[in-house]
Amino acid sequence: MIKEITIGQYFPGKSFLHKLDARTKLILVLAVLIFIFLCRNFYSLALITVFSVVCVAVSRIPLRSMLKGFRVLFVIILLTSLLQIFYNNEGDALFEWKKIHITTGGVYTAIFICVRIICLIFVSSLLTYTTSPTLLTDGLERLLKPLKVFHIESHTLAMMMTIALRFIPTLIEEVDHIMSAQKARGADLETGGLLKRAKAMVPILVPLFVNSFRRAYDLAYAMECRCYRGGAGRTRMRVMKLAVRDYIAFVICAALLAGIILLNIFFEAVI
Amino acid sequence: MSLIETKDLVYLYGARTPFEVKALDHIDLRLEEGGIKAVIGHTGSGKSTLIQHFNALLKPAQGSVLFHGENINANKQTAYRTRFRIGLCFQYPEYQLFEDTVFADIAFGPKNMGMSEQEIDSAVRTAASYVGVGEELFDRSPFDLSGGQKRRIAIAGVMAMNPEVLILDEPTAGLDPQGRETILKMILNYRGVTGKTVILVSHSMDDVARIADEVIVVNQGKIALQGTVHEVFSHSAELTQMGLSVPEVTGITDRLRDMGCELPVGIFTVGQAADALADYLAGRIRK
Amino acid sequence: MSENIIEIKDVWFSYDGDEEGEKLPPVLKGVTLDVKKGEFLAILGHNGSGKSTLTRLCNAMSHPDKGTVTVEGMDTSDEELEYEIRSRVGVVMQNPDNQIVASIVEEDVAFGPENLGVEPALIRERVDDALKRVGMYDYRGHEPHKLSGGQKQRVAIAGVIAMRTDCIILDEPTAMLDPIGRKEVMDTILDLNRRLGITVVLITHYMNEAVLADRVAVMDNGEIILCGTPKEVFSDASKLCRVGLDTTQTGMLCEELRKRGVMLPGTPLTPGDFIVAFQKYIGDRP
Repeated sequence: MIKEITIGQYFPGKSFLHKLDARTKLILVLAVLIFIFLCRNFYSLALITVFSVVCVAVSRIPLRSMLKGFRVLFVIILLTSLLQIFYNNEGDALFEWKKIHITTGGVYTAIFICVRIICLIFVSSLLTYTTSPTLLTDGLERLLKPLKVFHIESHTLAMMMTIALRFIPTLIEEVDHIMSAQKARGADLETGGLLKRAKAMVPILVPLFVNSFRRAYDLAYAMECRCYRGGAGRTRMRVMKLAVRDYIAFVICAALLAGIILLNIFFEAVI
Repeated sequence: MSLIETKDLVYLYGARTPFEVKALDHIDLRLEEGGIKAVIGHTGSGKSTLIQHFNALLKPAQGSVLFHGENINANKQTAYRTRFRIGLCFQYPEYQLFEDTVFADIAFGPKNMGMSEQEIDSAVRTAASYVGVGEELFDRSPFDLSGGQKRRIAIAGVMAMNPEVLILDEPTAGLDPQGRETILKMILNYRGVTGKTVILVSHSMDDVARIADEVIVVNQGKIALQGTVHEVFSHSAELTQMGLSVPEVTGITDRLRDMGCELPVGIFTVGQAADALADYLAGRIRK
Repeated sequence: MSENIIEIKDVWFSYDGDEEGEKLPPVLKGVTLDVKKGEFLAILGHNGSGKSTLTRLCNAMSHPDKGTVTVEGMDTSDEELEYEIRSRVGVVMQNPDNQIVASIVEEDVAFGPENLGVEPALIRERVDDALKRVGMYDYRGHEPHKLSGGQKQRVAIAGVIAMRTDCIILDEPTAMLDPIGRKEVMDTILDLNRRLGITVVLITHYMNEAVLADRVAVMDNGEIILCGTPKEVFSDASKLCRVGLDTTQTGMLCEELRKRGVMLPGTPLTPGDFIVAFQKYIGDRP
């Protein structure tokens, strides 16, 4: 049951987005997230929406499986947007009844919030959908290298991420195993109030922690045996090199930014 | 009526996904009461999945599991109670210890059964005696003990529930020869003292040859063979094909037989092999 | 340069206790052992006999209290040489899950060479080569947690080969595997030793693995009590028996046959040798 949880989902593929360098994707996703908040009117908002939809289409990731993951989020977004309609009283009145005032300002804000967050989710999740966790970690490590000035070792962060990614499936399997074993001894994990359930977790969590420490100790030993001594003097097998398509992606995003700015200038801001 | 019976048992991994795998493929199995039964098969054969159905930890996708003729999955209560009547001790059980003291850890199962303080005390002491854990260890932390001791304490934790059937999944995995010997002797002793049915899951054919009365071979989610040790080891060629390693002496006599020596089948101990070879040589001289 | 890759001379070792300055009883008591270049040495003994401690001393993870350990002439007590020593002596541990670092097979194999600062193109070459050696090349893009135990151990072995170490120490690599996995790993180890000439030290408690070695050392209670070819070691049945070890099943079969008046030539310890000896026995008495 617990095995069905997938973290940092990645859909392998060969699309344009899959092939982009991880660093390019990291930078551009960050840029596009900012662009989303630059939109001041419906025209620029439409442009960024079209852009997001095209990205999803280009990635060739089945829309259905994407939407499935977002189901809960959509409910939350819808609720926050609805709240905006009732609380924001700026602009012209559209509807009034007793204490409820619905104004254009409220409706516009609701639409903007709704569309922006959806675009945001789609674009940022495309990053993990089209980039394998290892490549993502690699890209982050290389991008964050300049942080050395602030005594932050990007290598250490990346190594922690790598190890976490490596051990998450192993630990999930282990939890499954321990749960079955304790259930076989009559542990009741499914009934009772909050306190009883929290108490029932002790027989699962104690062995899990004890075993994790043992694993950590073994792993540290194994890493030292393999001559690990931090990032200094370390090379990487994978060479990250920007290709023509990466430059194309940068140009497209620059064009997008220009488009948004122009639309913002030519048309009146509504928000 | 059989002790444990499965009827058309099917279990699927990743049901309703493109990766659906039939872990158990229409299994009809009858296990009678008494003796030590060995369930063997290589990793991924379905043997572990099968035994987790015996105590209702896994629910069949199709078919049923009967214990004394009663469907153990009839309702939640029956399923829960079955866990105490058929005790299952998982692989590497020492990694599931969690209490502060040895006593408390062994007492976990009995406590969940709702035994009284007194009953728990006697259940723990009896179980500890089966596995050869002295009372001087009761107040120690299980985490300070040796690997072999930890494993025996974990096994005692299941025995303390006083189950009618004891299932042990790979109880000797990862142990050194002395540790293995201790566990095997412990199982034989438990069997002798309590007279209860023991089901042993193993891929060590040497262990099976030593202590089992009946052998069930699982392969690709199906029961490939079932019978006495002698009957099953008579099919040594098939066992090898299923990725199981037969005892060294069985391999030797098989190869000699292929080379034309007239030797009986179903040899699985050193003594049997020595007798057969000596007989063969004596027969040659007579001829 | 001597012909020994590792030289252990009269080594004593004890672990530190929980309290400051406290020393636990010694786990190694005057161990002397040489590992010859290119040989396959098996170290046999029970859990707690000091076998695993010996590994830690050979790759400078621990230092002897008394005596010396040298790897290719380098003293392991010299802290400046630690890194150099570890690049010469690779280690594979018992639990395959706990020694794989990366979440993709080939990335894990690359981990060692990356630490050594090897050129990227060369790493690629070594990783591919190492994976082919252990027969895991087709799995290079797989996630390690989806592999079988035997496959994981072979990946771990590839990780050591890719570092181009001269010697590889395997600490009970088959203890947690099923028979298929065990055979896969043993075949790989033999292949490394025979074809690549890598020195192999196999720590094990399986007799039928130890008989495949060129030399066997038996440890008990922190001491080496027997050392020699498998034939020499396993013929000393009484000494083996005293430390709770036995000969192989084949060895026992010969012993039983001897009791029945059948004296096979030589002392066969493996099934293959037994068949040869048995045929010879028949051939001599037509």
